Amino acid sequence: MSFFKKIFGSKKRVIVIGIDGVPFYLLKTLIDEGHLPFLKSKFEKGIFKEINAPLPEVSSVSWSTFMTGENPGEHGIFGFTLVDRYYNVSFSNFLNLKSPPIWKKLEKNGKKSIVINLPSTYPATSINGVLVSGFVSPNIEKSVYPKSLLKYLKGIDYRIDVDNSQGRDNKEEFLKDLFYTLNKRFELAKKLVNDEIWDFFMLTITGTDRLHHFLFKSFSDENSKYHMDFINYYKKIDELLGEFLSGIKDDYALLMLSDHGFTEVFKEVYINNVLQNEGFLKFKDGERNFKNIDFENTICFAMDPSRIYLNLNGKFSKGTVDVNDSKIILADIVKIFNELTFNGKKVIRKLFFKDEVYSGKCFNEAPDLVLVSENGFDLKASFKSDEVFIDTYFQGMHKFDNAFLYCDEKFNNLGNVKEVKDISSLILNYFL
Amino acid sequence: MKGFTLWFTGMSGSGKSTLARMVEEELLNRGMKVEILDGDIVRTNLSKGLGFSKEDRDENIKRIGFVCQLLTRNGVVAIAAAISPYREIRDENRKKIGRFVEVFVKCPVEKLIERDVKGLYKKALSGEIKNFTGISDPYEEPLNPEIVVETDEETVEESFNKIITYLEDMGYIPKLEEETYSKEDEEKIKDRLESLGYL
Repeated sequence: MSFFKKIFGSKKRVIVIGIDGVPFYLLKTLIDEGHLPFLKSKFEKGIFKEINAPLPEVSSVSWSTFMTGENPGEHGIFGFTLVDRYYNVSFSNFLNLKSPPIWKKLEKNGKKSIVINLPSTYPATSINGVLVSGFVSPNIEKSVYPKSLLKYLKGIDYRIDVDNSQGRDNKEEFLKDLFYTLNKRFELAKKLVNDEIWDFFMLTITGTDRLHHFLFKSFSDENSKYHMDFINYYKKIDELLGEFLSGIKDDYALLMLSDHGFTEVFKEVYINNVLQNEGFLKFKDGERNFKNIDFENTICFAMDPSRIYLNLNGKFSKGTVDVNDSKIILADIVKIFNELTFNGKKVIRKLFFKDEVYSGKCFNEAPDLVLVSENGFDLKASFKSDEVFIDTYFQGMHKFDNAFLYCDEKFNNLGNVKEVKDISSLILNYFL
Repeated sequence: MKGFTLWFTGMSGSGKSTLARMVEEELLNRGMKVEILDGDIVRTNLSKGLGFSKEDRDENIKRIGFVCQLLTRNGVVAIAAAISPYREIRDENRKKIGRFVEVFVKCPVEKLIERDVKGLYKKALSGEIKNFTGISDPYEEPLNPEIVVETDEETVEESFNKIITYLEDMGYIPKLEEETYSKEDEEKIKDRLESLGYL
């Protein structure tokens, strides 16, 4: 029997719960301390383990990797922004994804999918089922497929994201927003899980990532004013998940994951400033911003959050670097970042060349180097600061390791699953 | 985009009007000009006075076909939702219009009697309504419709998806535009990414 025929004939159902930015150690600690009774009972069976995110470790890259089962060199999403041959920078979106998401593979075999709040699925495109896009959807009108659901979403005051500006300016309001949005997310999930026929159901909770960005230190600091709010947010997730999953006929396989780990932030590190200080990047007279880079005299530049592109002849319209010289130049850049320290502390943990982490049809669009920092040093490619190191009001930062995966006992052959990329085939294989 | 006619045919209560309205909304969202000719509504104006004899039914469908032809020729998407029970007259419209997509809205008559949303089947079965398609008058199924939706087996969304996917695949309607973000959208995204420290 062919692969597709086997899938077609299957009556199996899968539920995936994505929880954005939740590190394995944090979830394990909260479970061990008894804060999450529902998850504790679930996790007694099955496997709960650490996995790695793709690079760079941001949601757009990681969730695109999850949904396609491919590395960024194949699916084409390397960050929240894209740069073209003429140095035009645009925001990546779902139409830039060059590989089919899992629900398109399932759809070919008659399977129905419900996908709620998965980042990088904007604009919502046709699906055999329902798609409600997640971050960074700017417009709810184009975040819904089919459109007929829009009225319901507006009716319940569904929100794609919280107002993150409050995370800095008004933490009380920010917390209220987090809880409110979380409740709305589950309200929608409960409606769709009951009203629709589905084979694949995915709900992603993104409030955790926002909580971590602004209040991550409140977890370890028991004296923090927000310590209990932090824990209560997780308790609420546990409670809502319990209500949600208990209401569904128990014939599904459950998988949960986060897209990257998280750790406390100590300093922001502006890597374009490092490149400028070392003479690799030059500006024209005037403002320091991407548009004002003097590309005719620039050897390389960085894009969010830690991607370094050589200004290669042929690849870019004002390329200055011959491809034959690229190895020597990259070696220089690696040396500079390997030697970068702050108060004697090493800043960069590892640098990856593009051929170490990427392969596939989008390989040429990939950055030439990706940096991974030591815990606490949050890499930035913006020009907001003239300094290399600055203090930050953010409390948490992403890390590529220590994301988590939970699979219930219905899944087999988990031994090879080590990273986010491996999960899609695990789900497809379950449908066999 | 060029105009075309999307012709829904099927028995009373099968879901023609519902699907026609959903397709209309979707096409308007994609920037197309759309006009619906609903059989029930047309009989109150364009075909006022016509009855339900075969001749009158044929005349009704011819008139709808004629308007669809004019609309199609002028770049409009004409959506006809009428029982249109006779194959010959539907095929005649197909020939005249050219860019013609026939959607067979299929549902077994037993199911329609069970649903009976307008209460018409009850009346037809009791003899209160004469010449009722599927009960006391024939319905000739299309032999080669472009799209078949089975509304007793599919959800309305599935049927809708089937139609939209066909129209996209055959180039009748544009796929969602590549220019995804407006200037305003870009500003919102920039703000959101900056507020999380990503930019």
